[in-house]
Amino acid sequence: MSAPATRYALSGDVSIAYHVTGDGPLDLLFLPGWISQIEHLWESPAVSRFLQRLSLFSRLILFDRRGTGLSERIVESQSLETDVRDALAVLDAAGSERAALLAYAQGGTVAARLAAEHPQRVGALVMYAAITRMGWAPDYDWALKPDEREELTERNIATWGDPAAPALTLLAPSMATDPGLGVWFARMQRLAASPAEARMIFTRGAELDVRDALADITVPTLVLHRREDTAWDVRHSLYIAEHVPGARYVELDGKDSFPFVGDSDAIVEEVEEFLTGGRTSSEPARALLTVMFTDIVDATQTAARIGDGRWRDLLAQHDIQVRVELARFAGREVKTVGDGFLAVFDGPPSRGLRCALAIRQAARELGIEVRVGMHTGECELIGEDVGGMAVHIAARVLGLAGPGEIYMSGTVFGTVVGGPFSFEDMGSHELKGVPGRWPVFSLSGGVERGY
Amino acid sequence: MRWLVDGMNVIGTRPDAWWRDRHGAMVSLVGLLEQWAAHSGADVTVVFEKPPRPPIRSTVVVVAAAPRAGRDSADDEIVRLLLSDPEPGAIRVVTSDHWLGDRARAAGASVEPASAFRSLIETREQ
Repeated sequence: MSAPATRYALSGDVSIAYHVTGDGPLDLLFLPGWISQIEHLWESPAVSRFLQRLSLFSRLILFDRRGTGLSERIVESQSLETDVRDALAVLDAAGSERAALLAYAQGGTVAARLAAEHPQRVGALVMYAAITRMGWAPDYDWALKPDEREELTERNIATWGDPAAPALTLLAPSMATDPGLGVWFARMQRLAASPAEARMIFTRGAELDVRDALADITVPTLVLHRREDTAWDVRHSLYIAEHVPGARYVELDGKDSFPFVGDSDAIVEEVEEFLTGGRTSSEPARALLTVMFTDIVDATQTAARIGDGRWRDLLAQHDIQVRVELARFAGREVKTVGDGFLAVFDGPPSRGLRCALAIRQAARELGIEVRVGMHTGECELIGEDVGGMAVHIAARVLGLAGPGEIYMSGTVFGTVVGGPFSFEDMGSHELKGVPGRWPVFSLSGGVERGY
Repeated sequence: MRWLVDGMNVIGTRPDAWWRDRHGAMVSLVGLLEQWAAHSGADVTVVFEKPPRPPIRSTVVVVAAAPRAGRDSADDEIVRLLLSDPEPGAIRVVTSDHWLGDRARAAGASVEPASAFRSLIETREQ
């Protein structure tokens, strides 16, 4: 899903960039923590999916804090007070009289103050791994001591914007080695703040303490934390749950701190149930996607001919090339299947077709032949995976293709006919497990105009 | 002591589905304030974000509103009332909003948190 249009709210004379998406019956303001760049948030499939699921039952509102991302980059004027004013300015600009709040990490300080001070604007409060005091105190001894915090900050700053930085091992251990997430997060850091700005943001935040506000919170409050969160100690949440009158506390399985990594559905479902009284989105989310299967032809024979060692190198080269082309044409790798890939494209299917041509060409340069099968249809989104009949059809179409052939269902053909591609009609076929007969087309040659 | 009450802020302290009937909630608050003022002899002005429609009239408390609804309109109206008062030191502003509280203190008034005030007037009711 692509990012909603960015708009600006005026807080005093400071511009605050915000997004509104979804048309659910309640407003939900998401406070994602220290830094953000709201347009880049949507670039991560995991984040995009998390936000999308929230927006299935809400009108989701998010913004960059002043000093970060697309909002006025004046870190010097950042304070808890301005964070609160800026959030209210965004709610005003979005036309929200009352909104539920969903806060992560540092967002908790702002959410707690908003709920305590402006109960007429806050319908409910959800604190996920949220923080209301940053630093150590004798009665708060699970938080970092000043020297520990300083060391962590310096470590973060030293590797700021580096995809190989160790920050993700704390924030998202289950995906810490995922190159996609690493690249995305590093870019997020670079877009949200320079290293010097980041140091200032963390330093200013080290003194935050809004624990006094907790007893004044009268709106319904849900506190969530993953049991083995490696970034924020679960006692941060226990403290909140003990001090907000009537708060409900739910501990979830998992060790990832980022809410959109790991079992994010469990979080979305808890939030939805708390805010709406039901879990409608436990039904898998669906999206219209173009599904592409690729496969290396005669893999076994080639492996036998050139030997295992060389074959492994060749396979690795092939995988790299396929990923390069997927990135180039904005495809998303779902998983590898045998010696090939399952990938999906949103938006116009022609991007998928161009990608298939590019993959075939790249493979030929490596001395191997691939075949490709494609179909456009409604897919179930299951975590990072996709499923449903549309995926099945694409797999069956692949089965019909010979070496070097790019086959697609009539559905794909119908969406791009009249464009720059030329096709050969391969007749109608029965596809095992799929009702009816299916027209199949072969993408012949290249694109008439260069791609 | 004169009281200047941030009306919606006090209403918001009790999540009793007031948002389904904002006008009804405003009428109830004015009713509570009337009873409390009558008992205690307090001089009470309640400020709303915009003039209630239909108007809420009271002979015991003053029902004020910002001339036009808008961002911080009730806050601005409260500050305006404070600044135009010859004796702001005799005024206690009822709000949980720190920002408004700071502005009120700067004008010389004192500040009472909304939830504490709500408990105070509800106790008197019985």
